[in-house]
Amino acid sequence: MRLGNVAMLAFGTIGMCSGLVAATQNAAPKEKVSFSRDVLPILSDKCFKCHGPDEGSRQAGLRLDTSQGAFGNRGGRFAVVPWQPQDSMMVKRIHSADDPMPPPDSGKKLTDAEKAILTRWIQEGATYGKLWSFEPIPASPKIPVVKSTWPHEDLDYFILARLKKAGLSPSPPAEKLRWLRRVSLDLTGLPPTEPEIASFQADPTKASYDKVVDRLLASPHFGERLAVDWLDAARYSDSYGYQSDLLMPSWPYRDWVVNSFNKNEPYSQFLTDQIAGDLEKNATTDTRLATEFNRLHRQSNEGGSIALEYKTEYAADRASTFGTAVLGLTVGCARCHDHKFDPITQKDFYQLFAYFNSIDEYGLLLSTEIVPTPSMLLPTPEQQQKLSELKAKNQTAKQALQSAIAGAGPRYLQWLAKKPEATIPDIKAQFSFDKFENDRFVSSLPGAPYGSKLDKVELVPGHSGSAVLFDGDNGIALRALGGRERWDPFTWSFWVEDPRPNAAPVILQHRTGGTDVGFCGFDLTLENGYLTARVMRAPPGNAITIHTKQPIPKDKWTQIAWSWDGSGQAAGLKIYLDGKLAATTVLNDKLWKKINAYGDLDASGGDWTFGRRFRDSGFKGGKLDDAVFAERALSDIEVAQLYDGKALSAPDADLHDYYASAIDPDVRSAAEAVRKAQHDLADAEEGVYEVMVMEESKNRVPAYLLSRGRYDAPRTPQTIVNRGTPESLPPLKAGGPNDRLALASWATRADNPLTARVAVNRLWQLVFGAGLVETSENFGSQGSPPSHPELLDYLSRKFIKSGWDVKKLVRSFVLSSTYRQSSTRTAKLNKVDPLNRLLGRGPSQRLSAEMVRDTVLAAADLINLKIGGPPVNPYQPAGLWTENNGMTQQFVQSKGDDLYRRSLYSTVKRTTPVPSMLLFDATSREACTIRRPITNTPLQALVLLNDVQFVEASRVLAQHLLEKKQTDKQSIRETFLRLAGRPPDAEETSLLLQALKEQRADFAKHPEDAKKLVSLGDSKPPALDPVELASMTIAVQTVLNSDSVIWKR
Amino acid sequence: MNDFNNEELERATLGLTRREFFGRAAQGFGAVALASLLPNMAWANGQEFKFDHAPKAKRIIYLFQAGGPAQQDLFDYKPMLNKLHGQSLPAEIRRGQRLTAMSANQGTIPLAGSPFKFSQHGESGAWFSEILPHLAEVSDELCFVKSMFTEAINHDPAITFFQTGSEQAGRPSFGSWVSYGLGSMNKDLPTFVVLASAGQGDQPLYARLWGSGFLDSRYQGVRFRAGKEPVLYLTNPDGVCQSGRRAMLDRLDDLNRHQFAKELDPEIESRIAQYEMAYRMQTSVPDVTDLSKEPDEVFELYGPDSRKPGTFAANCLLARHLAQKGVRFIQLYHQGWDHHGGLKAGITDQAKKTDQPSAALIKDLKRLGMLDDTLIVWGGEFGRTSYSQGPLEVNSFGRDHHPRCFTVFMAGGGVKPGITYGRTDDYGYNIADADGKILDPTKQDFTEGAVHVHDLQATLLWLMGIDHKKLSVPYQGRDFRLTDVHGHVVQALLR
Repeated sequence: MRLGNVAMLAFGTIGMCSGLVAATQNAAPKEKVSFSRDVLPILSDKCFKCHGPDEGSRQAGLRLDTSQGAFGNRGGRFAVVPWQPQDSMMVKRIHSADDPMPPPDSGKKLTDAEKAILTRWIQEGATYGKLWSFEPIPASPKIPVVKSTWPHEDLDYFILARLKKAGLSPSPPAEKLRWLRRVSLDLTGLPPTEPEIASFQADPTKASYDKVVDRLLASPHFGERLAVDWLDAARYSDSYGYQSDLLMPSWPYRDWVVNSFNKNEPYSQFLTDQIAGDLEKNATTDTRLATEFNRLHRQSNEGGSIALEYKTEYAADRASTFGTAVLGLTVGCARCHDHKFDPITQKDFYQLFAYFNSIDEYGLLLSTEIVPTPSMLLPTPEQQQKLSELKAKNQTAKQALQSAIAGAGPRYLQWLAKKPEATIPDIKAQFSFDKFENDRFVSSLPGAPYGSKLDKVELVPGHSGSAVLFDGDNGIALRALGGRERWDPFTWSFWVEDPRPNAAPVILQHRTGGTDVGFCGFDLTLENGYLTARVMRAPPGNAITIHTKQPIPKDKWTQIAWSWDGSGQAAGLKIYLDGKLAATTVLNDKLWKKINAYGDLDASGGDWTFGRRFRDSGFKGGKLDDAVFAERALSDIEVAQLYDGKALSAPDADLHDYYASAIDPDVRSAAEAVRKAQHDLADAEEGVYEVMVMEESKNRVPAYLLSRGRYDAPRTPQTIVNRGTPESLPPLKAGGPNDRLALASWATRADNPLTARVAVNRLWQLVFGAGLVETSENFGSQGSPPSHPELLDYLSRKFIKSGWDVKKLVRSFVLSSTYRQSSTRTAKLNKVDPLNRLLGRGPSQRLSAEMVRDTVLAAADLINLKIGGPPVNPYQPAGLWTENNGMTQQFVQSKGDDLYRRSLYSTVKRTTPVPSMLLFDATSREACTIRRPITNTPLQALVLLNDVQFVEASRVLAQHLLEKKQTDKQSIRETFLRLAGRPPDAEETSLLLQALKEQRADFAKHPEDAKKLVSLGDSKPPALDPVELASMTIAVQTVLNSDSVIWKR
Repeated sequence: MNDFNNEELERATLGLTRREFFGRAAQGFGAVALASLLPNMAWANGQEFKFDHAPKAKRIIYLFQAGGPAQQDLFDYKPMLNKLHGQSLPAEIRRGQRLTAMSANQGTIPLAGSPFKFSQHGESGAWFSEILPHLAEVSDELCFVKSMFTEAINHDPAITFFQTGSEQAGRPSFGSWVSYGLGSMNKDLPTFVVLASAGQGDQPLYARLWGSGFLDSRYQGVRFRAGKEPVLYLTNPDGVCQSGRRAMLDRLDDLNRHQFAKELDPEIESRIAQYEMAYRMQTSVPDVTDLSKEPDEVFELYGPDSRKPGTFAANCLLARHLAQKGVRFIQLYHQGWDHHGGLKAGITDQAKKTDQPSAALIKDLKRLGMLDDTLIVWGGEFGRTSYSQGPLEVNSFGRDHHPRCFTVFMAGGGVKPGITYGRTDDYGYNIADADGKILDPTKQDFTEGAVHVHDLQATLLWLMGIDHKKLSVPYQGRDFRLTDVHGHVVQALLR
């Protein structure tokens, strides 16, 4: 059963189900059967599952989606013989009683009409063709000729022609105010205000309609209205969506969408920015921000997760979302096997996937503060200025240090002349691991530092004296070594014996917290003898990473020294082996904000841990001896001294660099200034908002065809795939890099058959309630055929020619005679076209979740119409976020004006959506959604009756009414105008007068109840008679709950 | 010529005149009005839902144990683990399979015997750990599956898979499929109700677990909570009494009827009926959630916690109330089984909270003659490892996630009582055949003795009278069902 039919069934007893399919899908008797319109939907739905494009599930080697397959000789028998139904096995089998096709156990059955179509198609020559949506959009589609004064826009000719064909006529125009409310809600999501109603009513000219539309299109609320639908498609959310469902930084993207619609950016550009804004020639902060579109999928921080599994999931989500939101294709179906219905192969899917997997991402995230990379800082203008100043200061400080070093020569000579003894200052601790006393390793230097065993560490004979032996799970922590942030220089020197354990064990790390889903701080790991050193906040993108080019020997004591100068650059990160500087490759050299971003450093300034890390691979079988820690990046000769104990005293030693680094007061104070400048910069960066964006990896991450869609399927040279677009669609233009920008320009080219059709259809859905293609998310052969194919083509071509002008297109929709019709039903329309697919009446629909709330807040003048900014938390029952999720953030209800922002700005928490919104069919934004269902449930009634935000808004509106000291009739009239956009009729007025009377009588008996009612909500209860106010509140709420308000008609 | 429809004429010929409408409304609304109310109504337009076959169970009470209970410490007795306690998991048992990133990097992975004593109970001789004395008493009612398996190794995807048939978000939940397929058996309560033990902490629960995915929102599970407002937005605002509310609803009905007379849109009828249903729920929900009228012996049966609203025990008793009132799918969640460390104390505490109420529910339904057509399911999203996560100390050791074998049990509603289906190898690490030989089941093909999550789903649906292959909905270009393209009804479990 189709989703659409679920709704139809609900009203089934009125007998509305008949007719439509016949009216739109079947060929008229004399017309030639069309393959794409008539035959393909049948083959696709009833045959392709076993005889379609997917080789894996193909039965009897027969495929019916190509002519070669259908016409082929199968041992003297033929499935399809053009012009010869009597010789075609297909015809025989579909009519066969004992051995029918489709087989009974498939659950599929052909109707007699369908059998007739298939037979006629063969009789007429069995012409194959493409699915209509894969056919090019005609260059200049013709407008049907219909003699009538009814049409106002081109689209009306198409609608009228189709209605006439079905023996129908359009409905009369809707009353002016009905149109006004409709168009105001459709274009801004807000009801018309009283002055807007008055001025429209007072203007009898034809142009009054145009004026309204131009006003609405120019309103900043237009962008907000259109954004909601796109944000559903973009699966926009303010939380990551897996497990702890931590809050996610994304609202600047939401504002970008709003602004983009308001600026009427061409739709092609709108898409290009989101797909490839980072790669555009003139990329700006804005275009890069737009690429967060591809980072809005859910992301996990669940402990124990395997990063590759999630990274694969994310890239697949990007490819699927691109397919659905841009092309209207369910490419995701081809992730595990070739598409069963549409010409999209599994290879096609992974070729699309390959555009989206090559970014520097880790796959899991650690906390809300640490933004997964690639990411971008979004400073305010003030922050930007501050950052620029601090960066300049950094430059200056670094230059000053260089000058100080360069100028140290004369002072060095003076110092040398005194024949001083060269020792290494700044060494803070020295552990021989020979003594373990009172549960402590003791530093041989004075001061606080000491070491502790973590679990059962053994002491074994070492490089000198005893050494520590690790088992992979245990380790030692060296404590009280002072605060270690990215601006703090240090040097570690120690001896290890490496037995080459598996994986990439951690040798040494600065304990800044973190778990297996992401570490931050400093670490040094050892894999197959190669060392990797990192200074990191969010690896791989926000980190400095170097990797040694030569391995250390296996099972042989080696001295490793590791130094960091606090400069924030890879050049300041060094590894020494046996006293000599090791050659390294720089893998990453970008670092911003602080690295101690998770958890707290303890009072002692954090620990350095050797041999293990929480849930990470430990240094199993490795040994450690003689560790030295210095609070400075030591000079090369000092490191050599720590290795051999004599480098500094060698007769031919060149001590200049040693002197400069260790002794010279000018250099030391310049180095201190660099430290301070780095500190200030990181501090300032810390407060800057950061968003995820797309940014290509320096080295392309390969993509593979993953068997059955599994992340751990073989990744071999044989399964590698290149980037590419589905073969059944026009090819990519050759030349230039094959990247996301190429993909975007392919998608937005004038000869792409899908993008424009999909966009036009979605905008049509936004205005008319349902798309011309009802399955707006699926333009494949399992989707519904367009009700007005020529109109869709006409509009799509016009849209492209207009430069993808969204406002212009929407303008033509809402000014059309089709849109202006009354939506009132008639018996004939109910019978022939109950779902209004032919548009013989105007659109009518329940308001969306956002519109319901915004309408009520607006009617009460309670709404805060501020555009954009961080999300807010409106009323919701207490405790929901943490009720069954102790790992997530606390819900803190917004205060004051923020309680009344438009619903678009409410925090989207994926695992705990705002319940009142969800009940009105808002989506959870966990996956790309193009079409929301529309339901009617008793729980919706309970929301509108009992949710404090609707009660409070009713009271605030009642307050306005009473403060005007007008008659009840006037108040009732105003209530209707504000909420329903029209005055009440006589019966409605009298019903409301009765309601008021009843409520007054009731509250007069229980004035304490009245007081309670009018005190609900955060806004202050006014100084009005509570009985009066409570009664009026209920009267307002009665109107608010009625069809006239909750439905747009 | 005029292009317009002749409205008046057509109104006169419209099947549903104003008079007829009010006539029917006076009888308390016909099927039309109720049609879009609740799931049953979707099918209630003169036609009953046709079961694929005669159902064995009218309702399901699913006692979901979130976090992954350790089968080795509850039901799956593995004396070998105690013998090999402390030794490394042999490679031929691990078979190169993936571990979570929490224990994959451990220096050693030592086998851990259960710290609990096991004994056999009932005629079935089923094994129970000493921490489950009450369930042991109903041994002969239980139908054990000791050879469940899944693919997911982390909580979020695993529980999402169990409850929606897909690791990815966005699919309808089990209960919403049943609501969609079978509809409701009552007129005053939702058909799919969700209860979760309060204050348990541990691995989170998500709205998607009882969401309706791409089915429409009327099929969502309705969460009942302990406390003043059992259903969100159920209670009148302060200061609105029932008589005031009634008066308001009467005027609202008038307004909507007036609108219907003009618009002739059956959605308005539906809307009127919804408000009536909402009004009825304001009474029916507090009624059904009120446990205070239960006699003391019932509270004694369910244990002392059953007097504390929001506990698993109270929810089990509430589940029985809901079952009596015709709620078709009652989904309980009890979090707290994720024992990566401190397993001994943790699982003892969990057993204390769940053992007696779970057993009591079975006894209670049996006493009321409802066990035959009520299907009870007890289990989590995956099992736990036979090796210790972290150092093997009796009080601190824990077990990591283990998707390759775990135990669930069922009772009532058409399953064979007093049987154990499937087994694991002597290490409790792999599914094995009757002789203890390791099996390699996949979700694609049914392997005798092994039950994939989709197989369990298919079997539960079968018991409810639904062929899992037929309950499908096309969405985004393909037919979706709870069991994806897999699932086999496990005949051996059926009575």
